Amino acid sequence: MKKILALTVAGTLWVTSSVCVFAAEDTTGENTVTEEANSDVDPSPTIEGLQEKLKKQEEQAQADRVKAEKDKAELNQKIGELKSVQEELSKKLTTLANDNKELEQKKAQLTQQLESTNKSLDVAVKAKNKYEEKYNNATAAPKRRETPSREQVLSKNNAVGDGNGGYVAQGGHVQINGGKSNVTFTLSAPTAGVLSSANKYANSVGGTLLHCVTTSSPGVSFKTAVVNFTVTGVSANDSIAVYQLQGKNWVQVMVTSITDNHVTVNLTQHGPLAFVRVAAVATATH
Amino acid sequence: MYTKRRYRIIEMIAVKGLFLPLMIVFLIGCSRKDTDAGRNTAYEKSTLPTEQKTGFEDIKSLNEDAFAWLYIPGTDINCPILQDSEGDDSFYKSHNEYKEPDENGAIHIEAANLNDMCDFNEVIYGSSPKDGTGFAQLNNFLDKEYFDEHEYVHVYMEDNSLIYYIIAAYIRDDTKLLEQYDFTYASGCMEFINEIYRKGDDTKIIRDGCETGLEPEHFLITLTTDSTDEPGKQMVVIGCLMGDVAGKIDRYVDYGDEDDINIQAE
Repeated sequence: MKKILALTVAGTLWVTSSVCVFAAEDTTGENTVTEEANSDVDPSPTIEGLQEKLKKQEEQAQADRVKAEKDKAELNQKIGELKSVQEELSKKLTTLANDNKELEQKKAQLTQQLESTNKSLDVAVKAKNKYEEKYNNATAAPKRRETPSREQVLSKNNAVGDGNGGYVAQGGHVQINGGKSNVTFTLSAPTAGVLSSANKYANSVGGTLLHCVTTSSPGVSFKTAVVNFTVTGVSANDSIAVYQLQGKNWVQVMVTSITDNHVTVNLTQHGPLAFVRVAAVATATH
Repeated sequence: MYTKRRYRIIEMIAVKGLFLPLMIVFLIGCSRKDTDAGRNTAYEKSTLPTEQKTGFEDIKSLNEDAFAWLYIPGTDINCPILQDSEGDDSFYKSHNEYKEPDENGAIHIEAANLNDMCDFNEVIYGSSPKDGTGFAQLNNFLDKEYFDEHEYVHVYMEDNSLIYYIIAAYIRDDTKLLEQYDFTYASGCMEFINEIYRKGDDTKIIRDGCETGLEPEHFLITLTTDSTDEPGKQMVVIGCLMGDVAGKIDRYVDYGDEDDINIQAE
């Protein structure tokens, strides 16, 4: 039994040492004896081939690793770019959402304004249609009107009587600052004091007071006015002077025309007017 | 190889599956915004009538000479109308609506015109500054297309709202209308109507359908300013009253003597 074991161990040792020897000789290459011996002997194809194959596989693996790293880096870069694009688009979407909200609010506001404008336009269109109908039906022929006499028509304001049946009224259209106007001059009776003063002044210039009135034109101002007064008792050949109380003085105003029952006067302001028949026409002082 | 293919698949999903849909959404949003902007342009440019009362009240609190507000839709003409309380027709040629010295002046009428808009022809003056303010845009009415597009003049008053239909635009001599014509008589009104309809003026534009029919009973508004095409002359835009919300516009038409009644349209 012991011999068998011993032989087994020896045999194993011998095989192992042989393998080691052969392996050593292969790697170093210095074992000339082995080389000489090996010239006639083929080295174990299995180990070298395996090693070669292993080396190649290692190189291939290394190359694959490098390529994989490169691909990974590229992919990471692209992912980074996409992320930044995604962030940008997210921001733009948010901005668009806000803009959309503002536009919706504006739209609601404008819709409301549109509704009120449409109502206003409806009124305008109805009015336009009404006037267009009248417009289209208008004829070129003038219309004759059954009106009161022209004297009555042109006496647009209260005529101021003199107590003797005579009166003063606005007798025609006025001119304001050189333009023909529909402005109405309102005439009113002067105060007792003004009337008395007018009488005295008329006597002082050797004339006779015909009428005295106070003028006004509510809401209308002017620099110059030309007023046609209806003054009963006046004839075209009369010498009529007109004086206006300005402050405390009676100032003569320009008379531009005298016709039957009409005296046209230039005024620069409102105030009491005294119509005086004089022996000769006095020269206006301004 | 397998790895390379896998990375390609990931790239395809990332680009085509995510990036392209987001781009499409972005472009659709932009086009909708442009469409909405175009639809609302007309209202963005003009101030709507409902807001005029506030402007009128504001200016009237600062200057009692303001008696109305003028607005032409589709233009920048949107301003108070004034009449000098001292009867000085030249005041608002050199002063603005706040009575401050201003070479451009303000929109105004003369003392001879009634400020209740009941005259046959309300003549409203304004300058034509180079910056396009005031009545500068009146000169655009000589363009037929512009004339056709702008039909109405609005005048807002404290207790009334008037709408005038623009019927004519042309260049005329620089004479004052209120001095040249006597609008207090029907004969004077008719003379002006004849001027509107008179042919032979290449610049004159008259609204289709309005070539005849004006009468002394109508109420007109004449907006006038210096002509930019013919210096030394005036540009006029004439409107006829079509809407009187409060029904207050009225006047007596004086046909004068019998002889005057026989004056007819040319």
